[in-house]
Amino acid sequence: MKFRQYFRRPKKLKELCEEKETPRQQQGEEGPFLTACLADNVNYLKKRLGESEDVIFREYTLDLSEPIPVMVVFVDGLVSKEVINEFILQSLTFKGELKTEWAKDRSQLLKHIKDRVLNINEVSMVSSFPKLFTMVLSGETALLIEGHDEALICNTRGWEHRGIAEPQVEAVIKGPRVGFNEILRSNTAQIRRWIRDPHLTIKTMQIGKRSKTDVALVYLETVANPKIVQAVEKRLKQIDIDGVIESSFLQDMIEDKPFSLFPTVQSTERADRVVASILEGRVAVLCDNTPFVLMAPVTFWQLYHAAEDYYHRWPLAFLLRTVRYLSFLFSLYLPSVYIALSLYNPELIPFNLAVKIAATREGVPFPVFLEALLMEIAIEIIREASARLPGPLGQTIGIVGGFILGDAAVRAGLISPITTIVVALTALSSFTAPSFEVAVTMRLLRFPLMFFALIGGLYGIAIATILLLIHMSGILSFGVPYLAPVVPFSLDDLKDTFFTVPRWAMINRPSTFKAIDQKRKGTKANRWWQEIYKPPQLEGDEEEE
Amino acid sequence: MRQKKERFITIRQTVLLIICFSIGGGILYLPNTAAKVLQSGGWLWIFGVGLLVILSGLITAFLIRMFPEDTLVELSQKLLGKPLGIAVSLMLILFFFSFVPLEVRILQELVNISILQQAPFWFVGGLFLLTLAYAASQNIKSIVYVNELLMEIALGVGLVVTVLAWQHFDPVHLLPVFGESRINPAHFREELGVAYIYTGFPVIFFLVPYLKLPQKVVKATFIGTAFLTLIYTFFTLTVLGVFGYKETLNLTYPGLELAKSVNLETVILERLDLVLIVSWISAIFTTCLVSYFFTALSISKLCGFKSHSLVAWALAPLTYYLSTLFTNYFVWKEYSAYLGFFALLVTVLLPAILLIAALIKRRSIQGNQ
Repeated sequence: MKFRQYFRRPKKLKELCEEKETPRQQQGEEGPFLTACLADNVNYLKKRLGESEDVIFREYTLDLSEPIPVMVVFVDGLVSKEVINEFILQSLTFKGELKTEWAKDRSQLLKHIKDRVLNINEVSMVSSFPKLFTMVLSGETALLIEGHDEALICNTRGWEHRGIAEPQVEAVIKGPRVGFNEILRSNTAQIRRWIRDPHLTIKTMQIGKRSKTDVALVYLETVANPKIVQAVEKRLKQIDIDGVIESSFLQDMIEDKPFSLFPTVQSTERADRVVASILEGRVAVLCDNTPFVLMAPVTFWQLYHAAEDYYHRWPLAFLLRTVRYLSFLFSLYLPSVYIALSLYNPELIPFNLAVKIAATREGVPFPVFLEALLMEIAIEIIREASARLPGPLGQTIGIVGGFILGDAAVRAGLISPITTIVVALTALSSFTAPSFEVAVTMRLLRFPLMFFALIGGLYGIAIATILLLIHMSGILSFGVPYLAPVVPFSLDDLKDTFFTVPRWAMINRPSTFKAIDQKRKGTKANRWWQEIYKPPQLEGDEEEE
Repeated sequence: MRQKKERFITIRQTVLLIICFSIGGGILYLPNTAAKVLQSGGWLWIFGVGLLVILSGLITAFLIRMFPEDTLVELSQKLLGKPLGIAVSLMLILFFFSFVPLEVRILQELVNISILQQAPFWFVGGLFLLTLAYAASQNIKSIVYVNELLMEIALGVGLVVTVLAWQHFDPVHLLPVFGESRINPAHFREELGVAYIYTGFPVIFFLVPYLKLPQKVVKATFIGTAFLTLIYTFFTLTVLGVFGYKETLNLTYPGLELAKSVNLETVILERLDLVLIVSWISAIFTTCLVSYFFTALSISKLCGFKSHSLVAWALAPLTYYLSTLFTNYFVWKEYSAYLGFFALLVTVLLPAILLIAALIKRRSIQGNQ
């Protein structure tokens, strides 16, 4: 109701005087604020948190010349109790000689405790309740002392969590087997372990009105283009939602083309992938409570790159990528080309093959489009069923569904074997996509393409392809053209698109991401390998010398 | 408020735009026309016209380099005054637009003789025009990018087919080198009509404000037109060499016959001409897209519209109506010949006039100083 503010009753002079800001409000903090009376503070806290039994209020008395009441507040399960017992409560029982000195000046007591008593590595002071709540509810311990309008916040975070495990989705044959886990801090630490550069920047912010999820922006300050970093940061800061449960929430909110089928932000569970992308000059967005990390910007081709490509020798990597791009074409076009050829242009198929196909289709009651569509839907059902069922059962369902259903359908004469081959090959091809999102895109696009093939044959497929290409060339991922480096063309970047060149030849970072520091290696980079490859003189050398 | 334009088009993209605007459906029957003009020496005729086009392309590029900030709409008004300038712009817009119905018609015939035999025009042409209008309503960045991509695909397939056709090449077919008779005035229409397929470079009239390096426009135009000449000459040479000119005269689409003549045992597809047609749809599409897009853009600029997308959609029904007028091969063949004259006017005469005007203007400014 924005118009209301224009019709408000004008304020009286008296009210204006009362509204005078307190000094703390001037610092930009939001109230209400703590008072010097401990009982009031505790009452307020209990009113807000008291009904939840996991919030623990521990009363304690400081044994100074006069006893001073102290309250320790923390949430059970989020904190490490050993730390609270040993380093907060135990250290609050002062040694005798300090007491008399401190009793004289009560106003400095909080500072004394912070500086000299608590053996905690991270202690800060807060003065407003909203901040206090956020801190306590994220696992810190608050220490309130009678007579002080500030509280001490001690870092005591420690909760049950999953250890670092091998990622399930993006498994590799060769390469590091570390994946991220659900703890933001441990994830950023993993990245730090790879890149020991002081320029590695980790910017943290809290997103979500209620969840207050920690989100970290990780990039290399001297490599990543500041404009891209700013764009990511700006979009993240504009997010205004209730809670961030998974990083895909953020992905939806910062994407360039929200209505497009193509993802413009990449997400991964593998730490090495994130590190590699940071070294390319891209930005990683880490989110608490999820192992999936977002990377932006991304190009279409990168979604078909696997982490493994870089760990094998380049000939094998070349083969793997070729197979993957080929299966990308298969997963998109195979059913629709089959429909188009058998419906409109059977003369394109070599004669013997055409006869074979016609023979197998003998007696099949469905038209070819319906046949292919039914099989595609069946495959999707099998896939979904095996994904939902728990582990070993899921595989069984896959085999039962795939083998028995397919075989029975062919034997009963409902489906021709050639359609089964086409659909099975398509399904297999779509599994080769290393990134789940782009595999989904291809799965979805297959159906409109089949429809176009039905109504227009090869012409329909050509028109659909043109439409698809127009759409894809219009996509920008944070200012980076989606189809780069093919369009706009960059010869240097092709070294890592359809094939990979050996490591020593990857001298520049991809120019697509407009990194500030283009060189991956030093200026000597062009020549150093020649020195290395000089074979050692194993025989005769020493005698001559 | 005039927005700050982003300069992003590279030389490579300029070259490809020039090429893709030229290469459309016309190349498929080009050898037929060439054979009519100079018989077995037809490819020489194509080459000669190409040289002329390179020359006038260079003139245009020199002219445009003087005004790196303006498209033709602004440039002509600056040089010739407002009414004459608008007339010139309208002429060029008409020239650009006149390609679209023709190409749509050629596409319809190509599809009908090969992929979908009985498909009605409302389906083939209608679907194509809808796609075209959608594409043209995008911003210039996607247009340039998609051109680059589609043109590479079409050129790649076309070149492969042409090279493969050399298995039937017989040099005897090319003799006598200069043809059996001299240029025949009776075939005047065909002789000059050839110019129509060459007219890609006027696209730089509209491109300059978006070029990354506007001073390199001369280089880009030269590469584009020269490459174009080479492609056409090579293609005509191949067709004449494979079929001989007498057979070429009888073929409506020698390009398709060329693809049919290729037989490859190893390829899984029986007929290569269909592959050529499917990829040639994208070549025709890029030609239409460029002309259609720049028509819409200049019309919206002339009228002072903010966005060109509305114009792009509004042009679709008009284009559809115009292309239904070309009922058969002979009608549009004649139309394409007239278009050739028009092309000569626009590509040779117009740059020359504008260049003279620009030089006079510069002289007078210098004189005043």
